[in-house]
Amino acid sequence: MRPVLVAAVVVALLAAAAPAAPARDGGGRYAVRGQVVVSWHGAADRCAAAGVCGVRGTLTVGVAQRGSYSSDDAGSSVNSSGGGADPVVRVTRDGAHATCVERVGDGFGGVSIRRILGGRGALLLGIGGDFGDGLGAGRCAGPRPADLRPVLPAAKLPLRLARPVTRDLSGRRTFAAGAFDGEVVNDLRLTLRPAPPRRESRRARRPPPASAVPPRGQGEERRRVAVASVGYRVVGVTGDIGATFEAGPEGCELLDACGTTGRVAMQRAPGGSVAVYAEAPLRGRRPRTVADVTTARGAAVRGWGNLGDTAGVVTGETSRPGEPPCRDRIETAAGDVHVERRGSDARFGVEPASRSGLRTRCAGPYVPETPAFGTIALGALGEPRLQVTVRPRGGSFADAPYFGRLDGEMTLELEHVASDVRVERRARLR
Amino acid sequence: MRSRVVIALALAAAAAAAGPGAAPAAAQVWGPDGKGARRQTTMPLRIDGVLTIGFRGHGPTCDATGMCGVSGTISIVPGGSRRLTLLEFEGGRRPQATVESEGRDAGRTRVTRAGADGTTHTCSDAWHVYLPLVGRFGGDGYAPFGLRALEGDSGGLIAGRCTAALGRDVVAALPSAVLHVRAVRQGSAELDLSGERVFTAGGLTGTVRSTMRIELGTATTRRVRRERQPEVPARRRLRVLVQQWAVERLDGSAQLAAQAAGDPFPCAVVDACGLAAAVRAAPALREGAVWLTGVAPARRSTRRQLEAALGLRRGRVPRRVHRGGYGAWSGRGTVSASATYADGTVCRSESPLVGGDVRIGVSGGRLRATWVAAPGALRSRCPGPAGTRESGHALLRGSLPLAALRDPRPTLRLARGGTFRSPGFAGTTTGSLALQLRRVSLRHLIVRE
Repeated sequence: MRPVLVAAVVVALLAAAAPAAPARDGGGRYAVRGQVVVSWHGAADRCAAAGVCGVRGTLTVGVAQRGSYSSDDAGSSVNSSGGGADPVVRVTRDGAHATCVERVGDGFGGVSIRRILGGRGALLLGIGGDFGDGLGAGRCAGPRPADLRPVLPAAKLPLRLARPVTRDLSGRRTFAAGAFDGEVVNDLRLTLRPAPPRRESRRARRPPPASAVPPRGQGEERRRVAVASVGYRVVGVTGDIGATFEAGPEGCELLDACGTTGRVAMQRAPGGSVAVYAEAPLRGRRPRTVADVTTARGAAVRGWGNLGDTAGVVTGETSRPGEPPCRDRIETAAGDVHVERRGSDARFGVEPASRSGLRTRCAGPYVPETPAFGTIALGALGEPRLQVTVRPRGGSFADAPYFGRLDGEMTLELEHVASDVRVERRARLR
Repeated sequence: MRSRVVIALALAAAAAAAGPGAAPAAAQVWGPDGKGARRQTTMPLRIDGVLTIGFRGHGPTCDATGMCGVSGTISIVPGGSRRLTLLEFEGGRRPQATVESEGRDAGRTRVTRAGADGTTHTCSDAWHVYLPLVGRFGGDGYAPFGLRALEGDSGGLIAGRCTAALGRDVVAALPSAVLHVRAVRQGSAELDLSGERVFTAGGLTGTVRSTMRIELGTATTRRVRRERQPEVPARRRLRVLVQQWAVERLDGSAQLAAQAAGDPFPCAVVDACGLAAAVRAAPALREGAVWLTGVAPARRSTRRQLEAALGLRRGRVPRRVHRGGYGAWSGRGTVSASATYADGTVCRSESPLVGGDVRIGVSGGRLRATWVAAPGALRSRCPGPAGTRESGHALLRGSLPLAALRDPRPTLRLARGGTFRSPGFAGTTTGSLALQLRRVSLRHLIVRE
């Protein structure tokens, strides 16, 4: 044990003695400390329809974290050097002796720092995390991370700081999330200190050697490739993708899940587009149709798209014996669509928007982040109308004590918008 | 050669410091003694089922500990997928097995307490658990397998702020099995860790019930190529001086007093409204050591200057010197805790305090030391702030002039407490701890960065 401990100290000191990193736009050190408490209850005017009257919950987050942050043209970074948070959700139901207890959060101490869009290098420190699950009610009944993100405390971080400053982030904000009303109270204090001055190392200042950039045209040979691109608009979406679930008897008690069953389903409105791009070595005659390229030997087929800005809808229902079911409906961000070649077929995949994409405000499991897949023949790409039916892959899932089965299918109606078939000359490295 | 050993040790320490669940690094493969792993076997590992611990005040002994009227449930639910890796070494070194987990194992508790006026109070809490599952292999090729491999509370099996049994109270009742290295090599096995056993400790009695079944998937074995030391272009030479002292005597204790943190934390959710918690940590010494290290560029420093930087002699100190240190001791001390509720009910708990450590820095011509209790080290059966994994407390601080280190037997006194806030609780630490040191060795190394 002893030599290892000595070595740990040596490592720490060697790290401290290491030369400085390249210059950056700015940054500093931060320490944030305090408590964040989110509380919610079934809203008197909306709880009956949703079956959540008498449901009360809290999310307590003790924040004690410090670290450093920096930002430059290459991006922003944050290093956490200590502390953490312990976000715990506790939800009770009137008349029931059980409590749903869940440790939530992303394991990064609950603090995240991200770049602010539009502000050059500006950073925003937020509680709740942009990673993992975020802060919400977890698998208990209550608000989703997306409901809380706008009302959790946040502070803009200065990139240039002359002297240490302390900011009081404390405050109280109310929110409404589905059939729940709630508030967020915090007593956080944020201390910011200037980053220690850093020197640019001699090695970083040295220009790259001229030999690193090959002269144009050297080491290349030209070849002809057939290229096709085709665009489709999503004009119809029918069906839904979802999951049915139930809680097993083992470990259900402290999640207040014993006897619960439920279903979640996601539907999407028509909207969005898909672009497919195919490329194949030209052998013989010029291609005339998209199918000539997609079905050619050695063709590479790739496609991307999304289901548009039109939001999808997730509906969820969780029932327990002798009680009115909890019902919720949330709008979700549109998922992405990707296309790839699978043998003689084009495989379409519809990705969920996020891990919590199928989590509603009712108690229930995290349904796995499984894309739904469907195939059509490669030769069909380019036709005026396409119909692709996607189904979730994977079948059963477990999120103890919950377990369930993915089900449903969604059919996308695609209408041809434009296509292009051409021959290009490409450089190929010898 | 010496510097290589130090770097190997340093990498091993860095890999160990990566924490539970970290992927095995190459440094772990070749290890500090230079003997490499020759074979690596990996396989998926799946855990089905849960561990449930039910407890209540134990009739004959609960009065003395204030546990009468307490009852609760703890559940440990494994989550996520896992991978077991077995490394077999050359030269007769015992194999090592690690289990990496992608998910989080969840611990939860709900405890009810009958108040003096007959009302029922509820405390509920949740925490993350790390289940290492495989212990150390013995010379016979067997390793303990299952939750007992946690060896007491080291995995934080039971945590949280509520009244609860300690991990070491239930360790003998945890499901366990043994695993032979041959079975790991073959993979595709199923181990039944189900069962039910009773425990009684500290005024609590209860049942540990497991429905866990562990499935080892198909094993994939590959020969490990002899790892060569990564070729890092040498940039500069560093002079390292390591002064080591033995801890000859350890006297004193630390007290921690805490109450509910107040707004905005809702004290009722952890049954802490009006609660006053007190913990006394009294360490005991079996053996211990303190290290102080100085590092400076080799060309711009001499050994004598580094000795001056560590306070071991008078003289000039190198300009760019980095100094730091660490101290640790083993020995079985005691954690005595009490918690007084608003209604006057008092909970009492006694448990062992295993070892301890101090972090050491140098500034302003003084050696500054902090006694830090590891997360969970001060946990007791009573409610309070010490049960969370985030509750690593700086208990006591102290310093002494660097010049005092010229004495071959210096005494390091830590007598300055402080205030703390942990989730749901706030409090103070007080006390005094004296470490009587004896100079043991001084090592001088030149390493390439």
